[in-house]
Amino acid sequence: MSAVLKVENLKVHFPIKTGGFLNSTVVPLKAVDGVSFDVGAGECLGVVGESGCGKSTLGRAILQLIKPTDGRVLWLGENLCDLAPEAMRQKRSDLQLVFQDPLSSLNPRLSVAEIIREPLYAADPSISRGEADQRIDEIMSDVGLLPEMRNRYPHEFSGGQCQRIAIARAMVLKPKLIVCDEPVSALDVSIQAQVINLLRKLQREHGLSLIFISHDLSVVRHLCHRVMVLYLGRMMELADRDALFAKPLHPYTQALLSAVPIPDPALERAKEPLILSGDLPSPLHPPSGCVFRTRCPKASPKCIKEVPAVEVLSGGHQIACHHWQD
Amino acid sequence: MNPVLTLDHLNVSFATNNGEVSAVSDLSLSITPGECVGIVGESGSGKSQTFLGAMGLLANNGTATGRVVFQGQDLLTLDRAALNKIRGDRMAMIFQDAGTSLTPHMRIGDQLIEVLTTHKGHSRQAARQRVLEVMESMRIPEIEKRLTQYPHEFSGGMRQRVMIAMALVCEPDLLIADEPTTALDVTVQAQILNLFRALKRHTKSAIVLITHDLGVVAGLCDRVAVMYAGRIVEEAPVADIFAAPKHPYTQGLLKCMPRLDQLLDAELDAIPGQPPNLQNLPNGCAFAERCVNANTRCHNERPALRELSSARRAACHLLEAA
Repeated sequence: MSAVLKVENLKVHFPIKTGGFLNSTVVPLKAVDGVSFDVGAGECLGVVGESGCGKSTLGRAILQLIKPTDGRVLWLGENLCDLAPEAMRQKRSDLQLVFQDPLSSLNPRLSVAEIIREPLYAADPSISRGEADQRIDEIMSDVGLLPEMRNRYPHEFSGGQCQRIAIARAMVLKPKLIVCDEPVSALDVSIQAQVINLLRKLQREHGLSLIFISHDLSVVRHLCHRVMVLYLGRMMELADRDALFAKPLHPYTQALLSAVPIPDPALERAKEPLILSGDLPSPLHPPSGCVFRTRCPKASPKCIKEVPAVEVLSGGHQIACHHWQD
Repeated sequence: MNPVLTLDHLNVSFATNNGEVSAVSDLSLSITPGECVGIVGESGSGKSQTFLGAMGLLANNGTATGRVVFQGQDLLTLDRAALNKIRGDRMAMIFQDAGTSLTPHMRIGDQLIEVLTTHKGHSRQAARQRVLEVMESMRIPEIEKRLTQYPHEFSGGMRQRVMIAMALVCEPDLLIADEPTTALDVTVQAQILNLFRALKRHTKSAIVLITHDLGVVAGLCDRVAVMYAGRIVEEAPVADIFAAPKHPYTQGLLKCMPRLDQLLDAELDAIPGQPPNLQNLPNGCAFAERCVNANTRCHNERPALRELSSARRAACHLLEAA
């Protein structure tokens, strides 16, 4: 599988003012700190981690909605970070985004047809009304909305349907890559399944590449080909789905997987959960060395001193841990 | 054993500008001491409103009718002062968002001590002692320092621990937990669920766990009631509901979830359609529109919640025929 997107050593640091009025200093908040990976054509890459791990920032930095502090984002060999705004704007028809909250990401004063028409006009202002309408109808039925609903407004739709509209808006330009930022987290279970099925169908039919950002490991397991685990802005582990879920190597991945409750009373009660102590450290003052060491059951003095390098094992399994073999 | 709480034909409705919205209809359920009952349903199914209504905590435009018998007393007939004596003392509630449930301008210690001085008439010194005990069982580090801090200095998981501690200081007979772990990250959720597990072993209080997460229910509850559009559609012991769900909605719910422990390389069995609008509920079964096996009777006549066996109830016409 050839990579369409290559992310190299991506860093996003936000300057944060701390201290009082007189002695304020600026400290960088390292939301994403040196993350590298690639995404193949037609591949779905899951990005998982807890709140504050930098997964949403990563998605936005790839699309240049947040300017990365350092590193490269190569889209078909071209570094997006170097592009002038106008050149980047033209690239956007290939690269789209779906947000978590479906209702707030749709303009309440535009009808569904107008919402979906906006990217069409932005990409090609000369598009004829008839052609635009035809593309809108096509994409609406593709995502499971009746074309008769085209003149309705977002508030007339339920959450699941709003997410379909957001997906239609992202899909109408026939993009090659969509970054989905928690697209089903705000939805109820029975509706969530419908949207997951839709994403899966679109991804297969159109050969789309997806970056699927989620905190829900069960959904990621169902949808993604490969999975990347982030913690405090750093990559902990990246592997094929089956390898990751069958045999997670990083202590954080292991804890994350064991923390998910299984909807089966016998299994859930029999399992010995690996419970991490404490909370996520503040990203303003991340621990030295390995960022996970304060909660890691395997932490050693080496973890305090040295940042673990990313090791690439057979099958492309990547891991950043000093002690994964112990 | 006498039930600690009995909901008897409870109705909760809200007067809105667009007419009356019925959030909970004709709901009957009883909870025996020491058991943990899971209330499962999607948003709008009425799972939270049922217990807010029972505790007299509805929004101003809401009314609850029916009977809510708590240790022999009908809570719906009590005035606010009488309710305040019971709430927080013999029955306590934990809310989803601990951030907004704590008073922002009061030290954590004072908030916890206040519960005991108000309800139990403890001196501050005695109350503090008891608070320390409970905080310790919540595995909160550096308790002494923590007591002098304000809620914003606590992380989400720590705040939820404080909420649980606050609910437990008076040793309630009934603890209602409304989505206690939904706002938390999975690893923190695992810590809190572990506390609940210890709590279940060590206290005699009955626990009602309101949640949309069937995984949480599987780990903690003894009995489960599944709600849909304001009604209980199925009620059963926890092992039965997962092994052999009877109501088509419960079956659909279990089938449509992707699972971490199983790999399904196909489409999920999604339930088609969406929950009905509570403002104009259908005359028949509320789930009929989304049910693959629904017949004319389902659309016209509402199924009653019937007993299937001594411990199981379900509301479905199709089960009757079978």
